[in-house]
Amino acid sequence: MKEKKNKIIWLFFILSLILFAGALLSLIEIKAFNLNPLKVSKYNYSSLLNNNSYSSSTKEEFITRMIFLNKEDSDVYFYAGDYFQKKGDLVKAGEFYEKAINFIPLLNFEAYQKLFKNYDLQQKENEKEETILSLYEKIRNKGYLKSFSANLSRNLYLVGESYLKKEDLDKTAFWWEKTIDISPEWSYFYLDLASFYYNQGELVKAQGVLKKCILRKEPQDHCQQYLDSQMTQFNNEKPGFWQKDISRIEEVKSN
Amino acid sequence: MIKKSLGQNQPLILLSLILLILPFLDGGISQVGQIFLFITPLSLILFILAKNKLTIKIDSLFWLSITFIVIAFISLLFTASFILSLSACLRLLALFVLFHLSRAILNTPEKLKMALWPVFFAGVSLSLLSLFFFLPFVIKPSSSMNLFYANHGHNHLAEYLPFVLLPSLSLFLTTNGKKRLILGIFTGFFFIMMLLTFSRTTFLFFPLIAFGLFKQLKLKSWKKRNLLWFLSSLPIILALALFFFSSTTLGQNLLKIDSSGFLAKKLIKPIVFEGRFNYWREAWLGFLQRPFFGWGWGTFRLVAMRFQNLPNTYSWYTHNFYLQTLMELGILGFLILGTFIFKSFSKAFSFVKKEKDPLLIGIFWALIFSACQSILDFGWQFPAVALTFLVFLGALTNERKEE
Repeated sequence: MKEKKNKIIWLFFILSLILFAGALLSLIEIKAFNLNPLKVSKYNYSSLLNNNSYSSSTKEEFITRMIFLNKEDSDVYFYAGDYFQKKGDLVKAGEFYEKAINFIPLLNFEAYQKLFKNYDLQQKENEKEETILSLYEKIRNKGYLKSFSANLSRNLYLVGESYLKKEDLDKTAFWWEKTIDISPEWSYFYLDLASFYYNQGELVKAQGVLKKCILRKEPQDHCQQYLDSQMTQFNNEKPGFWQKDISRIEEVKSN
Repeated sequence: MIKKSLGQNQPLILLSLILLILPFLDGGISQVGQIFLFITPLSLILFILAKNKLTIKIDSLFWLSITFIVIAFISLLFTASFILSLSACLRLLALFVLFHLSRAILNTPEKLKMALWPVFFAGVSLSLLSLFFFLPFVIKPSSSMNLFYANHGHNHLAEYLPFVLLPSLSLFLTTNGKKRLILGIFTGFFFIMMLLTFSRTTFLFFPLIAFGLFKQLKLKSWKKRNLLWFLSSLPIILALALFFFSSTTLGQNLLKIDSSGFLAKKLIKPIVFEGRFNYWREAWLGFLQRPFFGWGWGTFRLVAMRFQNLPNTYSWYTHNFYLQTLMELGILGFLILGTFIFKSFSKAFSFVKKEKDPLLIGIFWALIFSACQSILDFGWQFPAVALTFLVFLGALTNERKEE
């Protein structure tokens, strides 16, 4: 038993040595080991990837190591996505952005903006729509979400508008109906949707949209004017009339 | 005798030193704190090896704790973030080594009493520092991750105070004469400081702990009973008042007018905005997704972000150490932790019961208090709090033989 106890103290000695090495590693910068897991913070990764003194292959090695060290941390995938987007490798950039969003779906809307931009450049409309719909499902019925609500409804609106231009009316209605679920406090979405129905000759539906609008405090006055005038304004204000105002609702920084 | 040999007892001095210094280094969270934590075990073991006098106690707690460490390190293979898990595992390893070394070093109640001094000194100093930051003209620290001031949430001094408040209270209730007056002053001071942390969870647990302490001390005097009622009811009243005030229109308006105000942030915390429910939900969902191996030690923040159902409703800590362990290490890690806590408290209880020393009883209830706080807070994420807890726990679960 005594011998066992003596051995245990040596085990503790080895463990203490490991800890001591850990202390040294967290202090010392080793040039050959740029991503020392005890020294570097993931927030340094971005500057590493933007450092022009490293070659592309070195930076890509960094990315591989960064991902090994932070397998499920979305920030790292964003840095990698930004790197490849800047480099013009849209496919890889898109893959990294998708993974980042998959790991943390509600991080911020800026992440989605990056992915949408990537999809636009790759002309991946279906993927963009699927992502928008999946985000819609995640945040509907959750009330106003700063940065998310206005941006998402604007994206929903723009997809609807693109279908309007292609004269795919069912899909326009499908997307525009969703805008008022996400941003019910803005009258513009109700008015364009009501105008859409009005100009299709579906007056009851158009009126229904405006009646829904006046139940909310913020857009009430604006919508009430249209109800009071029997929606005659829609003869001039065709669907898409409020597009400019909608695009000004909220701007998000995007690289 | 201990005092005379203190100069020769380098491990005890070194242990006392780390207990004293760590709370001031952002509770051990700062880089300097982490380095101190990592280098202390080697220095201690070198002293121990040089003297060849102390032995590591091998009992069920040893095996349970080593199993827990192994599970935590195995989690490095499956972790969601190696970088987060590695430093968390090393912190855990340092605490594990220090726990067992302190069991070897603090092998008599007298030595434990000696180790209480630096904790007591740190408690007083942290309290004074907290008072200092109450002054309006003082520039406040920007971070809340320390043990003396919080920008948001409560002051984490609340998680350190049990280690000084309960032993002081216990001694105050059982001593007489001049000593009693001094102990009364310190007890009152720590109690007021506890109230000033505005930690609602501490307010809720304190009465239970105070009752336990009084019961074990077997106090019969009506004066002491009245004191118990006073000490127990005041935090409860304050907690209820905070809950009530937060839900009133006046409270809500005050928050709207001055949402960044120090007092508004401390006093008005409506239960509907309570973040803990989100963190617990996120941890639980994380556990359900990876029940066996967990997500890796120290990775809660990533899991919380993944499962948040609204943006910015995550935290770095679950605010429940046990649930966080369940999520990070899976069911096995959780069971080992539970067994370790249960076993060590039962050992400590039998020891304290046998010794009947009021100071040891006070320390025992301080440990219970800390374990309870960890159901609703994250005090053990501060290495200083976890270390103090483990050093005291080690001392109360060691065999009592004068070497």
